[in-house]
Amino acid sequence: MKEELEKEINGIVDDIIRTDFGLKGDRAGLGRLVSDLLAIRPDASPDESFVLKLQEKINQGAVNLTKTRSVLSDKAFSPERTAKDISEGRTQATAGQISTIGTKRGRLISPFLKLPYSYIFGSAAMTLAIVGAIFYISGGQTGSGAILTFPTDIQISAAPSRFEAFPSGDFSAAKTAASAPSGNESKELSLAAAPNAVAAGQMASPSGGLKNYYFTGILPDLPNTFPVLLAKSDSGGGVLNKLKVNGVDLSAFNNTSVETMLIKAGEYQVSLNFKKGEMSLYKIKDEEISGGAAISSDAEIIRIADEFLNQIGVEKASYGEPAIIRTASAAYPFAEILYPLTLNNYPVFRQGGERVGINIAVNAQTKSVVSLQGLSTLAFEAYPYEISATKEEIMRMFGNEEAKPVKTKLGAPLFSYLEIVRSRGEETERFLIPALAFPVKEPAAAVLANQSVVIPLITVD
Amino acid sequence: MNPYKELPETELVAKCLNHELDAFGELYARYVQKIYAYFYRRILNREGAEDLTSITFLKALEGVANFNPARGPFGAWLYGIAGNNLIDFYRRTKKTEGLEQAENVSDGVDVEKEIHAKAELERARGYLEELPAEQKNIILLRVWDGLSFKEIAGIIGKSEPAAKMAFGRAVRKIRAKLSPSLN
Repeated sequence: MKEELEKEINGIVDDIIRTDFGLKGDRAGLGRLVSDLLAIRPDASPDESFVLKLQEKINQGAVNLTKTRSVLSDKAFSPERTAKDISEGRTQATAGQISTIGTKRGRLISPFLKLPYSYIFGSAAMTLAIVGAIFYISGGQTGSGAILTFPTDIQISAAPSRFEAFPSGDFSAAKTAASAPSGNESKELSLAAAPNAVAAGQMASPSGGLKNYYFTGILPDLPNTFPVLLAKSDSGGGVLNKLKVNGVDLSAFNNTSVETMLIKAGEYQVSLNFKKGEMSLYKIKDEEISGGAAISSDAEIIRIADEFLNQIGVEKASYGEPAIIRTASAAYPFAEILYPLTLNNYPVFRQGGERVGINIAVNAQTKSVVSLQGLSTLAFEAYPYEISATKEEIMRMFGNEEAKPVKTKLGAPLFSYLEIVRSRGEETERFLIPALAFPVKEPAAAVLANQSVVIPLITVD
Repeated sequence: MNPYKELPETELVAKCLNHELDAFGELYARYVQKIYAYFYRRILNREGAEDLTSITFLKALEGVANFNPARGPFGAWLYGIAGNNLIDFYRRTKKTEGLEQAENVSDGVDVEKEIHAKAELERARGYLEELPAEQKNIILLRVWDGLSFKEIAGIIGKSEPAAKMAFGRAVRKIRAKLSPSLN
């Protein structure tokens, strides 16, 4: 129980630091804060009889809705109908016909469902007059200055003792790293099985095992070894020397001895982590939604994002084609664009299934960039690891196409990297491990959600 | 045997979209504890939490055929319905959104427990009282309810990065209050 709580606390603290790495130096304080907040979380378990009773209502409501589908018509739309009516199976008699919740083209329409988009935005105008850079120093550790390097800089290294000192079970293949070539011999990472390009999107890790998924294709041959990448935490120089945000030249902070910094650059707040080589920014003030203003097209939104990256000096060589992952609308005019990271042509995924990359939010009405996240150093140390998975084992993980209920069909897998972030005391380390990513092909709803399944090829606890 | 028990959420949703509403029962089973806890933690009233939970799932059952997976995960959509119901509840009871309203809500069923919970909420105010309602909401959704930022984004109607930023800003404010030297 205590372990679970600590895991929960650490998970939230990691989230906080990922969100604002300016707080990284305060990990212990954040842990106490989260712990306090969890300690005062009211205990809340529903009464079992209530749960069962409501389950019956839900089941009955589902039956009633299914039954009434046969009498649904556009004329039958009845906005007065309530959830209570449905749960109790009541239909409404109007002018001699049965009336229930409405339908258009065979789809049920909720008479009263209002999607929960309530927006609270700050001042109407954006203030552009913040001059210079006001910076806050946090974290206090002496660092080695700016470290982001672009484009990708991957070096094959011998396994250092610190790697083997990992708690047992973290990487069961760690022993094999000892046979890696010594020194920084090569920057070559390519393997024979180069992956195809994949569209940016969100993917889900398999829940409840893989028995609900099936794959009828042929798996590619797996290499004997594949480099596990460890993000360098001490690389120096690079992108911070090149980036300029609203005229603020970030190279001005290159020789600072602090690890993290928060600066204001015009209308943006910029978070810098010199040690990890990370930068993110967002507009300080929330933007107001201006009702009827036109929404930019997707192509225009991508052009705005491209232009912004060019303006601040980000090279995009290691990123794939940008994709809109959230469309803008008049009600919510903020589009999100993902520039998916590809390392030597291998797409990179998070454990949760999302593609790793630069995420930019654009206000499609004001045509301005609202935020940028996910820009980090692309300098890695590479440690060849023995692939522990076999094709036979992977195929045995999947369910059978013929089995019931209906399964989710997966498409041809791609060699990929899976990002794993591990905490070591107050430090976090970011690994990329080899994986196969299977895009979902059916059913339609899952495809619509751009889901894929990512299977690591080395054993990770 | 429940044929839906082993199915992933996306498939259950796909079935609901295909008007196979029996699958909704499994979605209910997976979310009822969380939704109930969401309400109870905010209103500290068992009966009220049960009512709001019932309304939320019945509305969700009615609307699930219109759910659009491209707009976010099912959980975010469901919590969105719950959030609207909570706002309606506050309106009906003429209370403002936030932790404050919990003080006056009591069903008298377990007064001692509720008094204890409310005393602990006093401590929470030390952290949360000066946050804007939305930031407070995001903190509670992440820390108390354990929701992902993707789900939180769906609930508050903002992008995932915006939700993360609001969360980061809220945490920084709290930390600044506790340790002014941080800034």
